[in-house]
Amino acid sequence: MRNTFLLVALLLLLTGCASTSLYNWGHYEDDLFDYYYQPEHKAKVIEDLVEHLQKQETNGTKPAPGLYAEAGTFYLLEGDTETAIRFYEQEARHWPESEPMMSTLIHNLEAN
Amino acid sequence: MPRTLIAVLLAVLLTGCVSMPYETNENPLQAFQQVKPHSILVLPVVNNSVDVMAGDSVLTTLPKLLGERGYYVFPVNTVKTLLEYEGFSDAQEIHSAPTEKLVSLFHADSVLYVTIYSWTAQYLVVSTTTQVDLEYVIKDANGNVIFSDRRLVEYTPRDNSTGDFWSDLVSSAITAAIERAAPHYLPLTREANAQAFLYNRYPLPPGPYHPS
Repeated sequence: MRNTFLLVALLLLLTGCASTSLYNWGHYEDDLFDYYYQPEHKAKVIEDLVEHLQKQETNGTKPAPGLYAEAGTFYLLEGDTETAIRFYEQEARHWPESEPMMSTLIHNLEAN
Repeated sequence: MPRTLIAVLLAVLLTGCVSMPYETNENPLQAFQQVKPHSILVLPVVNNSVDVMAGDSVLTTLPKLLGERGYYVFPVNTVKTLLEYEGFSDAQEIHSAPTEKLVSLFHADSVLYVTIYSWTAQYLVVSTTTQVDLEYVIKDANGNVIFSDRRLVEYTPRDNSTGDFWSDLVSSAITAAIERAAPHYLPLTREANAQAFLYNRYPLPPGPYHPS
């Protein structure tokens, strides 16, 4: 009886220690690593991130910091400046900390 | 399970969850708590090891950990790309640039410098252990160090033991072969980052978006 009680307490503590996450990051870590080392997966990585961000929008959840900007940069590197700017604007809209950097970036891209 | 063992485990877990109170005069995070950064600019990682993928592996696993800790983390690949446009493609060169200059480029509150000193995989018959030596330094916008940690982390990928010696030996040999081909970079760097920022005696204080 005592043993069972202690075991239950142990289990509760174990689950209690695992903090719930603030954001849904999708496959950000694995995808970015893949992007660096498996160039043939680039298109798939971009698609995955865009799909993830769309899902967050539909659910009305706040996207993780930086994800919109990362999507923008993927498009920038593909030569699609227009789409890149759209994502940079989203990053600035969701995260005030990124606003100065994003405006400079957008300003420079529009000037070119 | 003997009752004492459970009690000991319970005690370990209880102390593990609670962050230790420390004396104010020896608190290494005093400067950090005064600066109270909202955002962290993670620079490309200086990789002094012979493993070419180690740097990007560390870089890839930092945003989630720091973001979940409550900070705005500047998008690491965007930062890396923009620095390249600015003519900075070498991580060592970026780390040597004045912090004030980097901060003004991105309008960040703080900058994280990570250096990999070594990354060694030891190939054994049944499993492969990778040992890494990493340093994490956070500087405020004026270039003062407000967080610093250097540690040696060992990682051995877990394999699913069947309890049978011979089949375990075979499956372990397979695990070792995979580890040789593409070491388990992300689990290892996640572990190292977590040890430095969360399971540290002086963990990184929670940022503005953290619920606590």
